[in-house]
Amino acid sequence: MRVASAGATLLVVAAIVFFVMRFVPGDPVLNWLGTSYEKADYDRLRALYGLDLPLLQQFLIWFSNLLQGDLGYSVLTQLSVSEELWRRLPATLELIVLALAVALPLGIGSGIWAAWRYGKPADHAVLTATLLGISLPEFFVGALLMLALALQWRVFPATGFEPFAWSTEHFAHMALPALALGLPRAAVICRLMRGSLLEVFGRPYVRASLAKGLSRKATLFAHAVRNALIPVVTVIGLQIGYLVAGAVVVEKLFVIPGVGAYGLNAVTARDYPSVQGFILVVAAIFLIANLIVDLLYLWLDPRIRTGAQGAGR
Amino acid sequence: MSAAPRGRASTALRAWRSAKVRYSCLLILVLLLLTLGAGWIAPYAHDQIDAAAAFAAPGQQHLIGADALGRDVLSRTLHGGRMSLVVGLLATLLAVLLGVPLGALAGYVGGKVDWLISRIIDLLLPFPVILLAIVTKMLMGDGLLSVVVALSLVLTPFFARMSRAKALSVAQLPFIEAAQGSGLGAGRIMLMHVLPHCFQPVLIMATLSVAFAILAEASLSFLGLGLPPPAPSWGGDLQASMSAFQLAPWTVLAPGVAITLAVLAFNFLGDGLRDVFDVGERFL
Repeated sequence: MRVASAGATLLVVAAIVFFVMRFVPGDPVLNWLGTSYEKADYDRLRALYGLDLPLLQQFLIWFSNLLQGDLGYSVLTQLSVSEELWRRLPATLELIVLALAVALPLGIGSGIWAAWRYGKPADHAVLTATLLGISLPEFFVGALLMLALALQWRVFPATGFEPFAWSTEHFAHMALPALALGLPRAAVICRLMRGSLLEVFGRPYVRASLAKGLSRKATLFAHAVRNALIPVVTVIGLQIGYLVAGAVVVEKLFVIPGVGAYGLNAVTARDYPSVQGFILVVAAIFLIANLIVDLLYLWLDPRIRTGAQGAGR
Repeated sequence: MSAAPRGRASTALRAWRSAKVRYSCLLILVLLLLTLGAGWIAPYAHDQIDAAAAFAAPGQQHLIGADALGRDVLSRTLHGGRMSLVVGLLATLLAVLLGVPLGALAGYVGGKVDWLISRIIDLLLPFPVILLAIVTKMLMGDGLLSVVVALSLVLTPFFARMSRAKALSVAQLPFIEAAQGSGLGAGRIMLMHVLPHCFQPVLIMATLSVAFAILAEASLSFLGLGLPPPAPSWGGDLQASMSAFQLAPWTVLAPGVAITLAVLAFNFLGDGLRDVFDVGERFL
């Protein structure tokens, strides 16, 4: 059911993208040809890209190609858009996964710690650090990390990209980008986890657990944390949009040849087939990630799974 | 008839007692004066090129140094801030004007109207800013307006969702029934009795939205999706200076610190207002 609805959303996005691109002012073929051209060349190019056909027919052709995984050819490089995006996808996905590997443990862990030490100096320190964290753009975090850890102390390489391999070389290159993308997200998650946990501390089942003699620590980990995670997971779903956008920024900063770099080039060059492909791939990453979050949600909150109405929320 | 004006005055007083609110308001005021008054305050024009001063270190001539073209970094940072703050405030204003009435309408009227508006909110809510920004840039060209429209489209559903929830709970209260009984039309009830209840949460969310919009505008300029150069912008200037980071770190640090200060000021204000109002909701 959820898979079907995510698939349907993607198809709707695809259709919207197609028609929006046709409404872009200016003739794309004139754009590519420049100011001096032969009429025959103009007609040949229009026919080559199927732009002389009626709009609906263009859409049907594009759509049926899309269903077969064919996104057309780049106007800029003449290469297949789907092959190029497919080749670049692993780097972007890895960046997002590594950033989550930074953001989730750090954010949830420090959130629990701050709530546990509520009102104490540690709590204030975490709150101040996270306020700074949510106010720093990814590219400035990345620039500062680069200045400190690559240019000053030379712990990690500043830029450059190593294709995926289980090697220190590869992960050393990915470390700074992953931190730049992950740290601001960790700050958001931490603030949420802290707030959510403080709210849960006031619930009856927490008091019941303390009353039956469980220690505060046991109560925290046996009951409070799992329940406090539920709203946090919802927000992680919303955060994925920021992660995907942030990945494009971080790719540009650290010169990583991922999907984002491709999309940005395509936008600057007004390479419409590539822009369409880029938007679709980003939307797909985003929808799939949200699907995973939904499944996680089912696992965390049995009330949704069984359809029972919870009294707590 | 409405108690809102009296309530608002006392709320403002209550908010002012919070040190967080006072300090962040002061910082925002200073930033606004510095950036909007950049034309008078900045020592140089933002596009004044001086080859002899290329990468000049901070000193007498250039307080915080010069960039690759010898342009004064301080002047560019002040001028660039105008764009960031104007975009942030404008996008938020548009989102409030669009989102709050839409959400209140959905919550108060209910039925098919609610269903339709809610579906649109759900669809737009989590959409990555960058995709919308690319689409508006292609449709509307390079300009301030396309960035503002993209950001306000991203922010609108958040305001709509919140005012819908607020309107839903207010619609149950007895004074709404009394207003209906006294013969007031739906439009008047919404304007005079439902919308005032959204004031506090909208104010908090709007403050946080400005922070978000400034951050997003910086990222878009960084990616080259904002105003094209030589227009000064924090994100764009930082990006342009990255290649000379080691040689002239001030060219990167100045716009970076400026972005952080501006975003921090609005986040801090939002935090302070949330403490004061205690609306007990999570945002953004």
